[in-house]
Amino acid sequence: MELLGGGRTSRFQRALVEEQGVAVSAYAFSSSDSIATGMIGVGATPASGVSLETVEAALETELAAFLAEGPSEDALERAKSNIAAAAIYARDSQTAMANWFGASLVQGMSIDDIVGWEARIRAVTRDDVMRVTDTYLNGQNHVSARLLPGETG
Amino acid sequence: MKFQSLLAAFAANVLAGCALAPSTQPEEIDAEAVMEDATSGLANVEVVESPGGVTAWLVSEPSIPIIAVNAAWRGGSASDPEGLEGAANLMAYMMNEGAADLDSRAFGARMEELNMAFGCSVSADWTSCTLRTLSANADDAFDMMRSGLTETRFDDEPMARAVREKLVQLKQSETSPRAIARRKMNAALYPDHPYAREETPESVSAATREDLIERRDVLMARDRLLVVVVGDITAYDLALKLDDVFGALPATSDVVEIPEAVLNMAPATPIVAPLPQPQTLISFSAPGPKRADEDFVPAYVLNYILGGGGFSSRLMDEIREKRGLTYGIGTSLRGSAHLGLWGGRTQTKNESVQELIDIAKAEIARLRAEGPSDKELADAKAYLTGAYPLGFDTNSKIAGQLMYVRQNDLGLDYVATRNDLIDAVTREDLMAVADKYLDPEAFTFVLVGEPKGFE
Repeated sequence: MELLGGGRTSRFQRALVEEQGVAVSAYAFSSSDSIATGMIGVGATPASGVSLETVEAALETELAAFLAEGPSEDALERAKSNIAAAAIYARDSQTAMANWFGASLVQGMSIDDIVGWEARIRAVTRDDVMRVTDTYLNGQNHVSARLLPGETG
Repeated sequence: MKFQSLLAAFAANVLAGCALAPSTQPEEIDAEAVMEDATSGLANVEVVESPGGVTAWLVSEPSIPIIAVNAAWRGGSASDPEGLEGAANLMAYMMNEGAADLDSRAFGARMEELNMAFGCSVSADWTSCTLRTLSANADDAFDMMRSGLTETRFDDEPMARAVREKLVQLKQSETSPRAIARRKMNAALYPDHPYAREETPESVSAATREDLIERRDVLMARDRLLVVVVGDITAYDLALKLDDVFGALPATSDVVEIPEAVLNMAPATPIVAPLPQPQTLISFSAPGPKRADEDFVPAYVLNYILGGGGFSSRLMDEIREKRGLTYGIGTSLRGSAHLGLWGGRTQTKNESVQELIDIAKAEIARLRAEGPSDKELADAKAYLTGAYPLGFDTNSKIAGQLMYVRQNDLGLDYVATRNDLIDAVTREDLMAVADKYLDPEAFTFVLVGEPKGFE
């Protein structure tokens, strides 16, 4: 999800925001902090004058392209590096550390899991990414939510 | 800082995979000694002056291999030229959108490769930039900051993108209750002051590349610059870096000085901005002490009692707890370099607006007439002093705290003496500021919604 919409060089930013100019922002996230199923999601805010249909279609197109092509080696390295570096930055904050430990332990993970986070991120391969993408983002049923303007009096 | 380095060292040990030590009975803790230790050691600041004359306040903290750099230049969006409202904002956006040989994409990719974050923003009176980097990548990260600031490309694609984003934000603010309230309040209090100027679709689209370069040369001169650095870097290494990063900026510039804001008297009735929604946003403002005023510290304590202290405050107690009229009401001392305001904000259903205003005014008058109880004063001091160290628990927060001290000229020892200032406030001090500032009729009220009885 970092590759798709995590930051400045993500696919959504480059394609939807910069090249096509159809969105002013786009994001992709994964939320795995739960005991049952996790959730992944993508979204975007359209630029002025652009319809939600256009933006949704652009998201779908970019997702399909990612499914077909996968990430470049550079992009994969950057994504892994930034997720791993976030673990170092997190050490600056007692609150962040406490939340991380607490949330992980509550869900049944171990301290070794937390300690080993950086190493596990760095060990992710392109094949891993494509396998997960195919499992969760390829043709799965998904829910779309659109925020529309209200009826004004 | 002793607390932070202790806890960070603990975290580092755990991350290294050592087993947790078995817990033992805690020893008796001398709370007062701990508190004094915590505040006096909150930020051990060294003043670092570079050979080129740039001064930084440094807290050298090697326990975590990261560095936080905050830079602020005196001058911001209030100085935008007529018709170019939004230029400073656009300039700030462009600082990390390409520099020298790296276009926007390449600059962004390089920042990610270095695991660094660099960006800029503006407020009415300040232009600010921050850098966050791993100390392992410090040399490259500082160089990216240097390049972003002084070799900015201002390319067409990112500029057009910034304008697209801004146009959407302006559209959103047309129906945002807070934005509407802000505009109405500014227009009521100081319509002719630079603080009341607004970005428009025309003004944000009008800025050219040359306009942005001009803004950078005027706003980001070295004699307007304050720097704060916290993290894994020594004074010696920092001194050299300061000239590397900031040396190519102009030494000086002519920024049009912003005048002091002279506030209009409050109108007799609230100002209403109709917006179709079931509840009304109520915003209220009156003249208040500026940061540099002697009145500020007692006013700050009094504000906690009036409405700054959340559930401990008079307004929350009367309006939410006792009457259920709002989810929340709060007050604060607001203001900037040339303006002092005391005000607050709340929301309630359209039918309850008059009742809420009446109670709020009555509570302001009551506090002014009777003053706080001894318990309220003691509790306010205990909270404000006790919570202060919590603002120093990350490198970024320490940098922010020290920048606040620098921007307001509070002095190098402020962090160590601030709690003493709070403790020294007397009941008489509070009565004096209440008398001066808390006249309920001095508050201008702005209502955004469809408040009943105000049609």
